Amino acid sequence: MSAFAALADPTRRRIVELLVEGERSAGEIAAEFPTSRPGVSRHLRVLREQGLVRARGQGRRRLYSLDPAPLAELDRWLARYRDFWTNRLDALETEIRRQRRNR
Amino acid sequence: MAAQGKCSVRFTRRYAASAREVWCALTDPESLGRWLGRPAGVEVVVREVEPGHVLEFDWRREGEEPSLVRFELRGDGDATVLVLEHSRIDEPEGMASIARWDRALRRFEGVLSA
Repeated sequence: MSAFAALADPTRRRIVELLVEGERSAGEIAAEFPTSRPGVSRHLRVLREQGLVRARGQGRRRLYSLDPAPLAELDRWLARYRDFWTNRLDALETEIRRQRRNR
Repeated sequence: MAAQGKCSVRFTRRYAASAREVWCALTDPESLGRWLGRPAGVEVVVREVEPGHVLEFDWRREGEEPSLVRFELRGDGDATVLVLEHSRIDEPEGMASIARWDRALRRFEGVLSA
């Protein structure tokens, strides 16, 4: 699985959104979801395997936080397509206007 | 080597024009030449045309597996909604390698602390 595939899942995206606000314990994360605690743990494991989320132990708790590096990489990749097609779709709008003027 | 994953990106635009007008601007050869131009290193091959609704083409960029670009139009009152989906794009090399490195480093960490 890739970081993209990992983020294709809505629960995992929601976990990432939650961690944008700051570090959370496994229990705090699980409390946000109707899914069972083991279910949430599985999602956290996938996110860790893809390098999107880091975990550290604090006493008996495990605290999770975001690793921004893969997200930044993902955004750079996306920007290439976003910039390209956004420019083209703007140009298409210009063509629609031109067509109206020429009618 | 593991099979590489595929990704897609989707853009939605609303143009204040009829579907017919948007379709003309989208596909008229002169107009198409102006808005799309000739993207460097890309060969475009039309796959499907459903006049007024769907335009789909292969997007063959040098050195990459062909991907797919699809435009769909639908009327929305006085306006037209255009959905552009660029799909079957090879998943970025960087993303896969970051995950691989991260796993490798974690295994290394495990070995050190064993």
